[in-house]
Amino acid sequence: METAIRATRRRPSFEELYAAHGPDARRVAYLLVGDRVQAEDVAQEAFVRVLGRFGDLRKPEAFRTYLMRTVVSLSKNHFRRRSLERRHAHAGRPPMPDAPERDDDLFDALKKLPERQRAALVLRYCEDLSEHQTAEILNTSTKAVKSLVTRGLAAMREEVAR
Amino acid sequence: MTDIERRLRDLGERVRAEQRTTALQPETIRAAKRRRLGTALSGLVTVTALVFAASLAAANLGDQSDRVGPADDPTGTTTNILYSHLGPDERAEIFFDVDGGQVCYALDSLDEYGTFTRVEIVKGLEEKSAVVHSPPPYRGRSPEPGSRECVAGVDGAVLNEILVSPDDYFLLLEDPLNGERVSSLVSGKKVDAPACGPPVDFEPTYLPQGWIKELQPGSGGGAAWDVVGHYGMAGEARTEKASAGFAELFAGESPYPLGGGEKIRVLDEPARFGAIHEGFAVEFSQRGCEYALIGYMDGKELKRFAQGLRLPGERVPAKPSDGEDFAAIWPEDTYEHAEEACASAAHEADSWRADPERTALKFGAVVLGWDDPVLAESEEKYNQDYAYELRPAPSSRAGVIVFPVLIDQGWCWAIGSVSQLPEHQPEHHGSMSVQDRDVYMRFDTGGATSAVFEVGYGGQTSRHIWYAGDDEAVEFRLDFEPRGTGHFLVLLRDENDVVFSAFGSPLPEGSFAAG
Repeated sequence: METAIRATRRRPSFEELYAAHGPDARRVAYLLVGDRVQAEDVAQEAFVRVLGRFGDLRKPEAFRTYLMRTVVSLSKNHFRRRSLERRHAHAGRPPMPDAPERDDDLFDALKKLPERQRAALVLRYCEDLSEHQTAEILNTSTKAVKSLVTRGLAAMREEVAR
Repeated sequence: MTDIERRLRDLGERVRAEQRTTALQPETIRAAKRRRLGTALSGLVTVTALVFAASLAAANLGDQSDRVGPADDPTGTTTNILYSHLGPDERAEIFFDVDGGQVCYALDSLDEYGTFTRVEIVKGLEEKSAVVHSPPPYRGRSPEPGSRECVAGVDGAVLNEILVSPDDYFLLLEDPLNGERVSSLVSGKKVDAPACGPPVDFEPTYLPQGWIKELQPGSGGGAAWDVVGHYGMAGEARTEKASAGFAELFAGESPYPLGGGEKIRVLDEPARFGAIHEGFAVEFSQRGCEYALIGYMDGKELKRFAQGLRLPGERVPAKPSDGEDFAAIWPEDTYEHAEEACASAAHEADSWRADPERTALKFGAVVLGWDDPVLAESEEKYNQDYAYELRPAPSSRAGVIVFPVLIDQGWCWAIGSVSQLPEHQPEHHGSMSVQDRDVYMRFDTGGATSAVFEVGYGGQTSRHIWYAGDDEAVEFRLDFEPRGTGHFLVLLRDENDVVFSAFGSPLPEGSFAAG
């Protein structure tokens, strides 16, 4: 009996956590930053940070929420820095080739949304999370999520219709 | 479901499908990364130089080096903006003096970024960039702690705009002479109350096992935008023993919402303790500023740690704040002894004094002599915050009611008094007097075979053992001169000399008579 209890309480290894949550982290990062390479960077950095902080997780179920929150946060900043570099680069010379990762007007419209609206739509629809789960990851209320989703969908409709 | 909603769900499904094939597999991505790396490296210098040139053009500031230098201390109109880099220990403190039209940098907050010669505040990414300010406040010197350098001549309207929307602005640190950008900082955060940030000078008096007293820089583990510092084990030790946990100190409210929350007191002001989804948090205030402790650790330990915080120079208060005499019977019965013991216990590896239940259990083991005492919350209502039934075993008829007391608002507990279980209460209360060194006690011994009568003052104790058949009025002389506050304790024992009940109470300073 004691062995069984210990087995169920064993802390998951990095590899196990990465196997369990890595695809989700990469996918959400990709949907947010729109770039496979950067998405991988974001996902890995998020893992390192969350594991660094929660080396001794008492609530393993919280790992995913915090990981996703970190992915959203890092994606936001990644996106900002990339945008800044690109704009400055464009000011003086032809833009570096940055072909769209995906030939999809929906994807392009998504990338044009403000960060939190984009994150809310990705989590709510692409990831099929509930409003409550989305709110936890975005560290906000479900009411705010509803508002973000409503405004995001409206902006998407307008953008896609162009 | 609308068309957009359906298409978004489809998009998620398609990306999932790609993950199952190869397009989003890590190996594929890494290959793409290797291909892209060469391009990125070759573009970096150009990008930096362009940023530099664009900055000068946009700012139209020309050579402003003569404007750089120490400025008057910021006045009350100054507002702090905290810019944080992604790293946990990196932040830049910037002070905006709107009325004075100047921007001041806390140089020692910038030196983590390495040598740089230019600092720029850049507006926005979604709209046209505008450099608010571009002179060099830092040139690789080693800044004095607390030193600031200010740049005047900045448009007050622009500064106002930054204060309204700090997140729209970014900070770039550059070293264009070396052709590289040192760092870019993002996510500005307005700090409304400048005095609430560092330096923070709280002194912990209770430390979880292995922790050090000093507030350590940066966060304890991961990204934290506004963290002032963290408490925990020293850096190297923490790495080796992650399970020890740590607590991050934030200026302002908790960055994570507290669900509900228990009302406690920290630094003698109302505070709130509660769970967050990864750990626990305490929100408290001091000198008009709000703080939050975020603990990735045991919740009780975080609460004790918070309750044990003191301001510099403040004594660990063992004396009730209402000015009454110190009132406890064990382990100490004087203010001075309790103060000393609590300060010492703060450094013990696993201090039972931080917990009222463990203090009560310790009393049962040490004073009552019970091998394995058990506690239950008392169902009786008493005029005390904490009251426990303490018994030698779960089914035992023997037992007492103990009243642990928190020494002032700190973390350190003592036994304030002990009384008999309701079923053991005598019909007639006894009487007692202490006149100089002469003690007179008369109590209903409740069928005891023997009883220990103990009277103590100032850490010294005299005992008298009573046996059934003796006169129930006990008189004895203290072995010492009573000084300060004291206590009495009566242990009622059965035929095996095992304590089955007890009662005791603090005694005031000086002669005393009651009953």
